[in-house]
Amino acid sequence: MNDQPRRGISRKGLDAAFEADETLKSNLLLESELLRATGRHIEAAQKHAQAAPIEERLTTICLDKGLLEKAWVHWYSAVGCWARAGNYHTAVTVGEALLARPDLPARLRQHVENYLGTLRTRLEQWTAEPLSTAHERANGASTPTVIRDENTGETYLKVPIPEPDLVEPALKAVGMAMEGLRK
Amino acid sequence: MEGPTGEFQLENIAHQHGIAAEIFIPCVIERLGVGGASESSLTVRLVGIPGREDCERHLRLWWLPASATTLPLGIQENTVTEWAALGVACVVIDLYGGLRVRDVGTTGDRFDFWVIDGERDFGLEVSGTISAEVEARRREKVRQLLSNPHGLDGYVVVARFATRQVVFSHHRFTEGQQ
Repeated sequence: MNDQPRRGISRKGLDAAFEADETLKSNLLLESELLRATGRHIEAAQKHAQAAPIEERLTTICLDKGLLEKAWVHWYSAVGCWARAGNYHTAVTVGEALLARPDLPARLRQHVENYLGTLRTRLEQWTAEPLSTAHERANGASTPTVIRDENTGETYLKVPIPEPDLVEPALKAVGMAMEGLRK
Repeated sequence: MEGPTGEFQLENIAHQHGIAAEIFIPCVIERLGVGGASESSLTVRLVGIPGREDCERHLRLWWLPASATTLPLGIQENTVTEWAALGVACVVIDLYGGLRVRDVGTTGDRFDFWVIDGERDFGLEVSGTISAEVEARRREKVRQLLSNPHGLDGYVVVARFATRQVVFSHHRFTEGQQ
């Protein structure tokens, strides 16, 4: 029979109000999973945005009570909630504040650093791209690409163009201009 | 190995945990209530559960016909299976482990739920499958659980619905084992 002490996280001194907040936050996360499972991603993100400040509040309570291990759990979860809400900037900021704690255990520190690395990459990708480009891509526009002819080995620049009705008059005008230059 | 038979009303998971576990009930019924049945018999294997000998138990799980509601539109089959396993886990951890689900695990925790024994929090990783091999799935889930960043002990529940098998096990975290 397995009767050795188990390694868990103490919740000594946490009251019913704390548990009520834990339940509220947990149910927001469950609702978010349900929404995500049915393809309602924006609403799912909103649930995480509601859960994140609750996690921050739970973190503060645990820190005040000296329950450091439990505080790290809620703090790290707050980072994840902000990220899943799509708010990478706040997620990174909250995560960096966690890493600034000198008493954060090494194992958890490593996980948080790895996770923040991923979030910083996402944030950079999002902010590096002009919104107009993202909008065009979302609406089906594509960027020029280089293609190679399999028979000749020659390369070409493939440029996406609008519908023929729109582009043909412009091509005719360019052709006429070129003719004019030759004369 | 034969063992004692227990029984549990599925709807009780809605009241015995710190989360809205009732959302898993329709998924459990979808996977276990074949042909409109309102009960199912499960074989539950207990492994390393503190205070218990390793053994097999037979569990009669039953529910009210009114609980067999329509699943949300667009929900995928693998999600139904996973949530059915989460519902079954809510039953077995209470019945055989004296545990309650207290919180939902989030990004980075490496497990699905936080469970409490009254004083302390532990991790709980759950997995459901229709017909995949249980032990291989359990080993995979144990590795995942024990890679948690908090260095915690925890539990794993794996449910195989084709054969009505459930394994509920406890695992100790050891530094450097991952």
